[in-house]
Order: sequence, then C-alpha cells, then structure tokens
Amino acid sequence: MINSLLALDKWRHVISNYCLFIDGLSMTLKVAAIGLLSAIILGTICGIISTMQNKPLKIINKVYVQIFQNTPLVVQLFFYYNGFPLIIKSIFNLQQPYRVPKFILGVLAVTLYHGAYISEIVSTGINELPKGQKEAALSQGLSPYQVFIYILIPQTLKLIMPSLSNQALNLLKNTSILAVIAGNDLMYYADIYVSNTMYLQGFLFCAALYFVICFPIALLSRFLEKASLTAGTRKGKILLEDKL
Amino acid sequence: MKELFRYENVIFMLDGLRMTIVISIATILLSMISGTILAIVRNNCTGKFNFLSFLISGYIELFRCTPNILWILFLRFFLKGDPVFIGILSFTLFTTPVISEIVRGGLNNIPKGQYEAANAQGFSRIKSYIFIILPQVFKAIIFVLISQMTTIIKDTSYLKVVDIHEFMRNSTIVLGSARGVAQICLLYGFVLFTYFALNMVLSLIVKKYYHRLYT
Repeated sequence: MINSLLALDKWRHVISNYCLFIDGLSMTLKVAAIGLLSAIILGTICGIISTMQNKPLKIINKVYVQIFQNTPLVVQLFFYYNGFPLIIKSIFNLQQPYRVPKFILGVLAVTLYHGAYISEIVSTGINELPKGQKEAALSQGLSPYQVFIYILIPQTLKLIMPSLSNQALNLLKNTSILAVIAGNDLMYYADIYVSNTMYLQGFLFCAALYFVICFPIALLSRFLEKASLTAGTRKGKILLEDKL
Repeated sequence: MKELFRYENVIFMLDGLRMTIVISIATILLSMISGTILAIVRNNCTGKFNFLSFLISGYIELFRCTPNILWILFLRFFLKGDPVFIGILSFTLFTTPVISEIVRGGLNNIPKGQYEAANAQGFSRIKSYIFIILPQVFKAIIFVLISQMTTIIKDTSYLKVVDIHEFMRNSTIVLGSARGVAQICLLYGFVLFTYFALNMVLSLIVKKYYHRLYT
C-alpha cells in the first residue's frame, strides 16, 4: 500500500499531468471568489435585516437561516441540479429542460449556504456592540441609514473578521462538492485522474493544492483571532484602570 | 404521488436514514476518544517529546485546510474492505482534529489549581485526568460537541459519492422513478425536511438543557 504511494514514476506521471489540475484549480478559485463575494453581500443584508424592528422580515430571515444551516449542502446542490432545469422549463414553457451551467449552480449553492452562516455572524456582531453607540449616533442627528454605514458597520467589521475569514476557509473547502455533479473543479479532475489511472498520488497532489490555497486563509483567521483577543484584553485593562 | 411514496420506497429511504445515524454516532464516539487523547498528548509533551506536539498540530492543520470529500475518496481507494467501515474511518479521520481543538480549548480553561489539588491528593497524572479534569471538560464542552454532531449528520451525505447506503444515496435512487417537477420537489422536500428535523431535534436538546446545566 505505502510502497505504491511512494513510487517515483507514478509521482512523475501526476506532475506531468499538472495542466489538468490547474484547470480544476482555476474553476475552484473562480467559484470560491464569486461565491464568497456574493455570500458576504447576501449575509450582510440578511444580518442587518435581522437586527431591524420589522417582524415579518425578521421571521423570513430566520426561516432562511435555519433551513440552510440545518440541511446538507450536497442535498441543496442536488436539488438545484435536478430541480432547476425542470422548474425553468415549466415556467417558460420550453421544449426541453434548460441546462443551467454548473458554474452558476456551484456559486448559487455556496452563496445561499454560507450566506446563512454569514448572516448569523453579522447579526451577532451588530448585537454585540454596546447599545449606546447607536443611541449616541442617532442623538447626533444621523439618519438610521447613516448610523449603519458610518458607525455600526466599521465597528462590527472589526469584531466579525475572525469568524468571517473562517467562513471563507469553509467556503473554499466546500466548493469541492461541485465534484458530485461533475462541475469541472479541482476535486472532480482529481477523481477523474485517479479513476482513469488508479494512481492515488492524484488525490495527494490535489490535497497539496487545496492546502496551498487554504493554508494562508487559515493562518489569517488564526492571526485575526489572536489580534481580536489581545485587543479585547487591552480594552478590558483600560476599562479596569479607569475604574481603579 | 402515491407511487413515489410507496411502502417499499419509504422503508428503503428510512433504512438509509438508519445508516446515516449509525455512521454519525459511531463517528462522534470514535473521534471523541481519539480527539481527547490527541489534545492531552499535545498539552503534555514537552522537552524530548516536543516533536509529537508538532506532528499533531501538522495533522490538525492539514485536515483543516483540505476538503472532507477528498479524504473519503482517498480512503475508499486506498483501503480495501467493508465500505461502511471505511466511511466511518474517513469521517473519524477528519472529525478528530475538530474535536481535539474543542477539547483543548476546554482543557485550557480548567484552572491550574485543579491539577495541583489532584496531584496533592495522590492521583497519578493519568488518574487525575480521568477522574478530575476530563469530567469537568466534558461538562463544559458537551453542547459544542452536540453541534459538531449536526455537522457530521450533514456531512454524511458526502458518502453518496462512494455509494454507501445512506439516506441521501437511497433517496437519489428513489428519485430515479420520480416524474415531473412536482414529484421531484416533493421528494427533495422530504429529504431536506428529514435532515432538518434531525438537526432541529439536536439543537432543541441543546436549548432545553443548556439552562439546566449552567444556571
């Protein structure tokens, strides 16, 4: 077992086929980048909605978050993959099922799934801020819209950066589920390569590529976590000194 | 509608659900054991055994930065034997680092006095962990572990790619006989609802007992 993993000629074969993996990697990165951007936008909007006083909107947001957090991403993706072509066909009265590009399916799945998580992060971040901030800003004559843009969001951003970067890491990892619907991403090409050649080195090479793109984000999230912790204690110390 | 939710179909899907639950419970138990051991080893090895702590943190970082589906496929091709066993093994492999980090967080929150007191009472290192430290740690982290369980239940749907007879895979087979938009939506609704209910029950348990334990 181990011997076949260490065989040099197999490794050489994997490395000489690197084009295949790079193709997949670019797809993975594209899906991750666009997915992350739209997930952050969606999550921020939903997070802000959930801190507003509007009851119906709040309930809709809660249902969205609970449904998408408590069901598997694979099932969601399969639903889009199998359901959307037929739904679009029946809505627009097409002759044949419309084939949605897999890139869009992947982006959609990751966006909705991680949007739910980011929404929760944003809403806890906003709720964590002292109430006085909002009241002080309102009493200074800022409109509620300005309060959000100039007062709440910059402070919240600082608080939620560690969990946000953690979500970015998870999102990057989760783009690998595109492989189950043959989405031409890195995982899919690795799977194809291994099932064609039976060289398990393909998986290890794929793991190395994933590690290379994910590890900087993991380091970043760890760094931000530490920074926010020390910032918190520094703040605590200052508060304590004020009291003394 | 009736032909889709025939008796045999429902039984077939619920059989898959049973497999999903078995796999997730086995995974959480196995990875709790291995994760606890890793956390304790990592916290205690100093001096000559420092390389162990380095190895463990390397293992944790590696699995944190690579997708789970990769390791499921890798182990499926690498090992030969019962697919369910290999599935559980691969799940344990990438859940262990997460649990180990959770346990380590719990261990670091235990005041130092507890170790010293146990030592003064004549407990050996291992005994003081088993009887004094770990019970306190598990009481503190039990709810994080349960929410990790929901993640595992969701992730078992990955096992479809290696054709283990779990809920998602069995439902996909039933889906093959579905005709038309309504039936497909209904079936997916059923699958999503089942996963949702399973996870909701877990989070309700957390909510119910959280106050009892901490207040």
